Amino acid sequence: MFIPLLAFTSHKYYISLTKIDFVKEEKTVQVTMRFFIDDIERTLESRYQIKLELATEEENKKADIFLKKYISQKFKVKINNEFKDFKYLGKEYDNDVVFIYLEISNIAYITNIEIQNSMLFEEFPEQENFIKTNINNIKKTLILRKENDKEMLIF
Amino acid sequence: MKKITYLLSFLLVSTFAFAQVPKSEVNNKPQGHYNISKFKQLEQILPTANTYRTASGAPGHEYYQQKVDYKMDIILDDANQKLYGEETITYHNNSPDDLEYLWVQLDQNIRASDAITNDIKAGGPLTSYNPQKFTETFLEQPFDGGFKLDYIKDMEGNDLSHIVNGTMMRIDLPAVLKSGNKTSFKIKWWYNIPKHTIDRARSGYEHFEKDGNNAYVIAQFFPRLAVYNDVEGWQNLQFFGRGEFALEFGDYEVNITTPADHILDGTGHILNRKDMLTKKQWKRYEEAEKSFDKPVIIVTQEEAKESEKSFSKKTKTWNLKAENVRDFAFASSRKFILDAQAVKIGNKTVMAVSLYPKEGNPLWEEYSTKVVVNTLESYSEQMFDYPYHKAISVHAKRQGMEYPMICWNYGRPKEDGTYSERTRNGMIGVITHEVGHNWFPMIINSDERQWGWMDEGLNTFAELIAEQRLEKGFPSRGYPKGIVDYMSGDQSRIAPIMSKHENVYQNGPNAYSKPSAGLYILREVILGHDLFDKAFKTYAERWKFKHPTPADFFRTMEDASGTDLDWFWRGWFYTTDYNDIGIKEVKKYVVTDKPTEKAKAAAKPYGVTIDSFLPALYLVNTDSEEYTEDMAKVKDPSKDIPFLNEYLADNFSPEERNSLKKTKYFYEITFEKPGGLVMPILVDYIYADGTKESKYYPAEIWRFNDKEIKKVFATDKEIKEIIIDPNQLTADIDTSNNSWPKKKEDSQFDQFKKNTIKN
Repeated sequence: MFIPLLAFTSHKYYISLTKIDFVKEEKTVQVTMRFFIDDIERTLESRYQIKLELATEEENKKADIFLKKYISQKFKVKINNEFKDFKYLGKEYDNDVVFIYLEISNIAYITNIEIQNSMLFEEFPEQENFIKTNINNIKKTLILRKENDKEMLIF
Repeated sequence: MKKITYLLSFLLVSTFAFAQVPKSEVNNKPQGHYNISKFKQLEQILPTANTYRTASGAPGHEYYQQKVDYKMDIILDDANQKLYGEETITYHNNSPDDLEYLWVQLDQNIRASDAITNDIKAGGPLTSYNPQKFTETFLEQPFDGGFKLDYIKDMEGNDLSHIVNGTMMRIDLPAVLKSGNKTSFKIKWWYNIPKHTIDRARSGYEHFEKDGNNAYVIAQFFPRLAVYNDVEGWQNLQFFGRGEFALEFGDYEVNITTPADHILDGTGHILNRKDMLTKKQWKRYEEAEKSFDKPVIIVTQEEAKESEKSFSKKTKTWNLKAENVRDFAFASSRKFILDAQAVKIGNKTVMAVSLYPKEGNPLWEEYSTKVVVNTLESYSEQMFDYPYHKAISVHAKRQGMEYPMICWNYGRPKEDGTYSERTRNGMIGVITHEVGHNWFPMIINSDERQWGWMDEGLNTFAELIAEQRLEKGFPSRGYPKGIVDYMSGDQSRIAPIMSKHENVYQNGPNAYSKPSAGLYILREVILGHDLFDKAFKTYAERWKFKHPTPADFFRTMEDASGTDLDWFWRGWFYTTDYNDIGIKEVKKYVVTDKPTEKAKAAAKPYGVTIDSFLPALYLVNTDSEEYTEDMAKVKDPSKDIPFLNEYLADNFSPEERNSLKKTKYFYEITFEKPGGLVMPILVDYIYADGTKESKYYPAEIWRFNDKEIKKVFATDKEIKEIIIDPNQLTADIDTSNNSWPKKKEDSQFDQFKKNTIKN
């Protein structure tokens, strides 16, 4: 059997990866998200009733706007007990995968961080959103699932 | 003279060793331990070899397997999406054991409304439910699936006592079936065919709203025997949905009645194909049998579109016959377009066939059969010549499923006929994979229910080779670098490859990509192509049309490559350890003839000074206090150090002296291994003049110290840079420690930001 539903390459499982790195010298938190294109496309298309055609010549011109909107609904970061806004820098593709880059600025220090990521759960109940953090030189891995879409790290 | 020198230097070395034991350890002696070496042999894990399965990994001289033959009459009721069947099963007991009962698989029962597969699913509510999901979960009556058994009778028409246990059924035999004997019995059944597009059932039908037709891909459609063998006895694992099938080989005669306007193909020869096609189509079929360079379209899109409208009430019966297959499947629809091409495999002609509705075009017409051809050729090169007469790729939405000679594959263009690169690549990948399954597990018939990786993993590896043969640079999965994220993930959500298929957390990496990456490492890093390819072929040859187990695979790979790989199987297949090797420290040394403090101290216990020994050479770390500028003046030790020069003059001819290495730079490299896996170290030494030297230190370098080892590297050129695993061949999960001097590389994030600012 071939495990992928729609997608290809290593996509035999519903998984996303979000890297969160705190770069103290620049007072910024860098967020790099990785999704299978087919998964995020299907989720947004069914949610907003649109056609996205990601990574094709006919890509919807508003794709970034929809992505940004979706992420701000489903991905929330609280640093030192305060919700933080992020800047959507853009996205790029690699085969069947899309990378999305977000940035949170003016963070001088982090004593605690709460991450909520419920992206794709509504479309794929088996979805697992992995979070890999590198904050204050400590590396951690979290897995967020539909029943438990939030975790807090205290430093 | 020489002998004395050696003796003394031996004494010197052993003195060092002695001097290193710290005093505190003598007083506080640690307890002993079992063998905890990563290089411990697998003997305690692998089953003891016996006359059925040898220690070399080959079938033993008493190896046996059962044979089961089926004669079936099947009716496909398209109007009501039901399948009716009657079968006569003949079971040949080739085992040395007498059997009181037989176990039969009723795989369709996974769709029964009371199937236990639903009951073993655990978990709380979803974050949100879309209306369809909510309706399916809470409102709808469950689908009335599963086999409805009309009767189970012996050949005289007497009912046979039986009991259904979930997806299995035990038939109690009226008399014990003696070893070497056979028995026959009959089963009659029917079932509601599920829509495979809803929950990805491995078989079923897709309904096309626009024209009102159904396309059927039918499998697991008949009660069939479970495996009985020397390893498991009767297979007794229920079908929960992931662990696929364990089946016996046998011969099939199957008559399938479909609506008269259907086009069907399936496992085996279609004996009455000529009667099933129009005259024109038959002529095209005969052309296809001679067309080796491109497919011939036998049932055209125009013809299929005509059939879509006919909804014939008449029926016709297809007669199929297959020998030595482990299963049987077929696809049928009035929507099907059919094309085929001949392929030379060895001295045989095999037909590569595709079956697809117009919704698959133009993609399918262009690629499907071409990909089947490439897969047949590549897999025949890798393993053994394809033994059957045809391989069919059937288009089915969201499917990817394999059966003997036939498989279902996805890859559907958009309604306007355009398709993305991803759809095209996905289709090429899935067809290669599913056609490839003809080798693993259709012929090399491992137990899928027990070990998903034995067919999926080996097949994913062979698929990668086949895809690269078709298109170099094709985005294949199954490379070592593709498994890094998984192996560096949360250990509580990772299972060893050697886990029961049903119990792995992440089936994709566990059964597919990680075993494939492991084989890739064996081929590219540890064994090399020649040894690996021969061993892999040997495994395939030994176990074709048989039932191999993991031990048979591990043992054969070692046996045929002449390489002890126990450490590799142990680490990669039996643990969740990951690979992380780094460079901890690099020290530079110069050579001198002045005894170092360490050497002087070593001489002390003998009650003599270092002067009593013969002159020797010493390496001095350039960062140590003993290092002096004088030492840096030694440019060529063989000339600048007089007694070495004399020694060379006494023992080597001028020609020999000329061919000696001009060693003048000495480095001590400390390799660290934060990862639990043992792995060879691949190192590139890059010199100041830009040239490089690649070194391979076998995994056994870690056998005495699993955390850290040192290596002295002497060269005539200065080293500028050292890189570990430069081509990402070993799934090293953290490459930040892979180079010296440490490189501060831009993260992916920084690179993206820089590029977007530039643009």
